[in-house]
Amino acid sequence: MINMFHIYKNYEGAITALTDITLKIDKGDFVFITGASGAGKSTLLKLMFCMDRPTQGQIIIGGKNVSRFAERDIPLLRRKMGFVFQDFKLLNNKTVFDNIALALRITGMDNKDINKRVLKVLAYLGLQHRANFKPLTLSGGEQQRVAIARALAKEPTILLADEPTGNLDPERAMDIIRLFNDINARGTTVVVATHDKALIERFSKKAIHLDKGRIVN
Amino acid sequence: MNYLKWLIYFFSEAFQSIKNNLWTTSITVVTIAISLAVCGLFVGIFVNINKTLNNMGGQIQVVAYLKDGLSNDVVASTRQEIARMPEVDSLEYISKEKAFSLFKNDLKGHNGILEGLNAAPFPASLEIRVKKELLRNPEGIHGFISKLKIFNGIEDVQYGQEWVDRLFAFIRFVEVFALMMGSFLIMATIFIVSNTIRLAIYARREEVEIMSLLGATNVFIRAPFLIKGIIEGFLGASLATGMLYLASLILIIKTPPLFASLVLMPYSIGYISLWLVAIGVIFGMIGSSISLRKFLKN
Repeated sequence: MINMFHIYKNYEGAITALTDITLKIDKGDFVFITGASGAGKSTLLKLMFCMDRPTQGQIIIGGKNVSRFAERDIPLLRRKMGFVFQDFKLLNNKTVFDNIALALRITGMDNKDINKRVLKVLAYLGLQHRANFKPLTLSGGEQQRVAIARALAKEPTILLADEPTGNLDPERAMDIIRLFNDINARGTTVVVATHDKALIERFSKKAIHLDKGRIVN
Repeated sequence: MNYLKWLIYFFSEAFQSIKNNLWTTSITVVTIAISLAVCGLFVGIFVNINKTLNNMGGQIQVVAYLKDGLSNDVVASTRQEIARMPEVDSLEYISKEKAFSLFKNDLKGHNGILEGLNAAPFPASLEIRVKKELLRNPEGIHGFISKLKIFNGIEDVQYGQEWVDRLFAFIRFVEVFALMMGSFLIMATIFIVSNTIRLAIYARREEVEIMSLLGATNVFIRAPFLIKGIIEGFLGASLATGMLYLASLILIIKTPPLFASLVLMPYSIGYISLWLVAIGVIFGMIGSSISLRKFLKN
């Protein structure tokens, strides 16, 4: 599903974020990307989501070399992938319902289908009663679930999550990972970047450990 | 059908955004209005000055004095030939007697001066009005004068050369000045409008970023902003039309009659508003697409 070959990523001022990363994530996998802050976890996810381009190397997603993608092809790739951002990236002037609906509206889906899909995903995440709330009136955990709901609404084949438990207490964090586990059980490939060792130990999943931009396990 | 659905969505997003950002929208609209009004005022005054100057040019009269003692046949053929010249608009023959009677008329009340003059002392002449096209440049009128001088029956040609040359020099100066000022004003207007819109978009940069991350195409992100830009341009232009109309009403009252023609609206208010709205809409569109391009690239 996701293949990376000898990926290097340098930023201006000779800062090396990733060095010679080669990895393979199969369809239906649940993978943790771990490492301390600054190890390159977010950079790796950003490259998978085409938010950035590698300095060197190839990234193949679903059989396509996305490291060579033209600007106009990126939106189509992103519609097939879900991304849960560390800072949620919700639109605070829109309701929970509209935030989730927006992800579907941009694909040209009919209003009727959008309504059905949003209600379904809200029910799945236990957020029906929050549909008409604005994000800032919700707790951190609820906002996180809205962000996940928005990513899931597109029914993506791959779900990427960057530190999805970073702002949550251990109990809520565990709930979120259980949720990802459930999503994965339904067939979605899940990649979660986290520095939380307790989580990784609790769920015995495949883990890719990064240290100073290199894979160490 | 799909396009219609998206169009409805884009418009509703644009109106929603105007409603949510009423303050920044108002600033943008007022900025566009003031910029367009200043531009419009300048163009209006320039058009009026140009019109006035051209009218003055239209009053240029060429007088060709005929030699004394010409036979009626020669006078008639000279008249005909000159009347047929492409530069000539109209022509009037002033006989020696008519010239004298016109002179007498001018000196009414001072008849003493004319005592002792029993024959007509003035030569016969042709008063020629030239076509307006000829007045666009001094070379045209000079060429016409030299052609007239070739005629056998013509003694001399007068047309107030110095005055004509000065008028042409002044018209040319006004045109160059207007072109420069106009260019500066238009550039400044585009700059101000696109920057005002850029600030409004900057305030919503997070929204643009999130939509792009969700997989929205550039068209999908850009369309509501573009529509909003067009609406702002339209509102700004309407406001500018009102401001110009009001300004012209006040100026007409306050300006001395001699200069009144300079502050009159050179075209009908409908015509002016049509132009302003078209320019406002284009400015709004250009302004928002310039600003958006920068954000989408990032």
